Amino acid sequence: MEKFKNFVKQLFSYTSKKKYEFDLNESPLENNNEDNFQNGLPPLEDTNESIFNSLHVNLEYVKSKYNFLINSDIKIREFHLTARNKQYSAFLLYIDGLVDSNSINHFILDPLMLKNKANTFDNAEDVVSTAISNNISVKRVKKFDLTDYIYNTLIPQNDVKKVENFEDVFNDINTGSCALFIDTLNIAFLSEVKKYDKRGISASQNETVIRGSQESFIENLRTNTSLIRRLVNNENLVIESTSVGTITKTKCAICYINNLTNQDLVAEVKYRINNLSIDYLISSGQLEQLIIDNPTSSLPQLIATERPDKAAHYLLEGRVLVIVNGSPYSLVMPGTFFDFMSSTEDSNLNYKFSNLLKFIRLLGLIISLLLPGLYMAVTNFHQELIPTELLFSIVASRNNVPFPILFELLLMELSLELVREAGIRVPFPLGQTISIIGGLILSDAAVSANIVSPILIIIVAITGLSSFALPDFSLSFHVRISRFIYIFLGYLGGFLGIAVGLFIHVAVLCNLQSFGISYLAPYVPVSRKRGNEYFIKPFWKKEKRIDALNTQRVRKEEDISIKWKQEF
Amino acid sequence: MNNKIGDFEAISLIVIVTVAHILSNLPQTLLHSTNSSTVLNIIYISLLVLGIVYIIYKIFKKFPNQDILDISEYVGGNALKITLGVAFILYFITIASFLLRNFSESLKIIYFPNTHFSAIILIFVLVAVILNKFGFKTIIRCNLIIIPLALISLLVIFFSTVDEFTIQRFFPILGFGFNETFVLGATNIFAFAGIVILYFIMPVLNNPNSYKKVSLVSILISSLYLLLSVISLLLVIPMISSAESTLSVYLAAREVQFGDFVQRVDAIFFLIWILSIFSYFSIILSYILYIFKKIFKTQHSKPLVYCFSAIIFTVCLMPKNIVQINTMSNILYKYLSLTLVFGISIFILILANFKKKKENSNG
Repeated sequence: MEKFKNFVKQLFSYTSKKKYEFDLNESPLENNNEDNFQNGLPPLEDTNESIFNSLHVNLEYVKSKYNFLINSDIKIREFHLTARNKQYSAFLLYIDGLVDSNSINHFILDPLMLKNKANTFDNAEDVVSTAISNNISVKRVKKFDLTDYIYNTLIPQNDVKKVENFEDVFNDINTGSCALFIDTLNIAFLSEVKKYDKRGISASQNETVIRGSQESFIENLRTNTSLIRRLVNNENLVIESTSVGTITKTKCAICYINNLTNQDLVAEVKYRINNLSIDYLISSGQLEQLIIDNPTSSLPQLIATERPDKAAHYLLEGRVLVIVNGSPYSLVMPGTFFDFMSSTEDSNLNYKFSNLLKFIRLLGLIISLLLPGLYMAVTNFHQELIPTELLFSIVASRNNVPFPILFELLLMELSLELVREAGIRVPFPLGQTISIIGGLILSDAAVSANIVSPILIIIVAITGLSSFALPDFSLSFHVRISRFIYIFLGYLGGFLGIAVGLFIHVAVLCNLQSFGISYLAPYVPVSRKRGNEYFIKPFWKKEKRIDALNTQRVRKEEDISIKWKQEF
Repeated sequence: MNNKIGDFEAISLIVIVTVAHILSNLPQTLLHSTNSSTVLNIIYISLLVLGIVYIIYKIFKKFPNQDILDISEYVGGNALKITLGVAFILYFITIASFLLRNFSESLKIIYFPNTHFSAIILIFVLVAVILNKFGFKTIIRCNLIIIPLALISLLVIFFSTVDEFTIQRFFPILGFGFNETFVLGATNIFAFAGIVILYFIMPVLNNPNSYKKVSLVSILISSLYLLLSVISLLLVIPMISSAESTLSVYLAAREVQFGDFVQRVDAIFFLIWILSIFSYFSIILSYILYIFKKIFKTQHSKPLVYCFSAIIFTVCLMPKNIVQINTMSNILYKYLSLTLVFGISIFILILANFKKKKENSNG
């Protein structure tokens, strides 16, 4: 009967559909005060509070700030420490996964908890003088300071700091230190016990060289600075530390050679980095966008490198290096156009080999930038440029193609971009397959189906190949974008259109500056004391640093650097 | 224009004016006036201009960091400054407009027969406006990149047509006669009207002491290229009609061929020349703005770029046919340059020199 009732009820009665719904409230805060902070980000919760005397209060404060009840990796170890034979309540605060447990056990907890010579009271030690008067012995004892006693005697660590406010505590805890709070003390001891898994130093994946160093930066800031210090190997190398991001407080290292680099450049770099009002910074790519002179330009303005030898080379040339914690790419500033056309290999090879490669790269730049646009201009407006026999062959090959050249060209260019993007996104073993499918089968099929002409495949293939000759990833992107503009300009106005594009492009290049130096330095404006020519001189003839940098030390070699060849 | 420029930038500024007029029909105009003695005439006028430039240098040396407008103010007060400034603005507008019209007409005839010439002019005007938005320094730097290309293109035309040279065309060596070559021919100094830039360049030079070097080197380069382009035309083209609708240098460029495979490369030359005209026009527009700003003491001159480019565009549309264009761009250019650049301006400079001497002698 009950079953029947339920059946009838389900059949005839209305029940609302239970639908799972989730909406993010557009304004989660009732008192949304974002708009009131015109001059900066709204402040985060204030942690700049001083440490309390009461251990219990400190404990509660720390637990509340770190959401201890729901945060699984926050560890608090409460214990009693022995100092001069007295016991004090204390607790250790650290984050699991960021610290070395052995260091904590052996160099913090052991000396503090276990009874030993250091922490047991020895009366004689503190007696300064003894006086006996009327059979009463009066002893003058040294004033006892628990903080100093613990700092000097009980924590056998090389890097221990005394801090007085919670902000400093939290900053260090988040980067792998452990904090010791002791009852009755309004300070905390921070011990450096960092240990976390990191990638080992490996060969560079994206800036491969044959004869150069096979080391590359990793994600750890300190490892990266050590790589630089090993290569520069000079006490004048300064590695200043700063942090960016209100939430992440990402550590950044500003490196320069103190008696070489232009101090105005160093000041400018520091000024820009220290005046960033952002919540978080994860990579050097984000920092690059925040500190370049012209963020709307698609041209690269800072040199991003994962090679310590390249970074060290630029440092020794008088530039400034910025390393961001968590990013294997460091930033070198300023960067000029010709830097992006250079490879690390250039300085390792004989200058004649390097100059041949540089010439090919220059050719690659011109072809990848202009060839499709020029093809469009020539076929639409300036056919007389093409030799007659070739013109006939082009016309014959296009006989069966129903589309205009613009459509053909855009179709193939977009296909090339698709193949390139797909090749990067898919797992590595599939990348080659994608290239083969895209490059060979697709184009062959397109020609067979009379969608595009064979000559166009050649144009697009040469363009694609040339773009791979560009050593800088960002410059390559700029060229890819500009190429489409030139295609349209060539289609609209032939060489007049190309000239418009070229002239404005040159103007953009001339107008651009990177940290106070011309983007086209040392050619525009013309610099007589050149040191950064596109085609390089032999290593023994590179006597001066780039003039535009105005370094403290202009010469890097004597006029005759190969002294052993000199006749005495 | 507070941006300082180096020697190379300054030289290229002066040379681009000559190059632009070489690309327009300057060699043809010279050939019409002196025929086969044009080569002699160019050497002669080059020497004359070198002398004039030396005088200009000597006078400017006494007025460091001042341009012709400052000097005219010193001579005749604000009234003379404004009058001279307006005269220069009108001069720049006129020569730039007719050069632009001439070049655009040629472009239309050769490559864009179905496009109205005003559309081509508009492109040049828009590019100049965009460049002026970037600022004077950028224009100068662009010019520094463009000028070697333009010079190389003229050199290539010269050397590629050497096989076509008919040396006999040098004769009669005195052309229409001694009088036409050396007396009346002296008026051909207008070909070096690019020295007008010298009147304004002193305050922007990085090193004012290099003024002499800048002026002499730029005149030498200009005369060399003028000579090469005239030789190419004189020895290659049998006769150029005054009603020729295309550019005279283009006639020589058409003769360039590399073997049997590449027979027509004039489009590539045109690409470079278009860049040169863009550069020239941007420079002229920036000088118009500079003079206007200086004589009327305006705080910002950039918004005026639209007004002046509109005026130039309108003036470009004035000539009715190719004969008028040729007359305007050659004859008007000649007499305006002779009057303003080689006449009034030098007269003002000489007056300023006397005034300065008088002041110095009075203590």
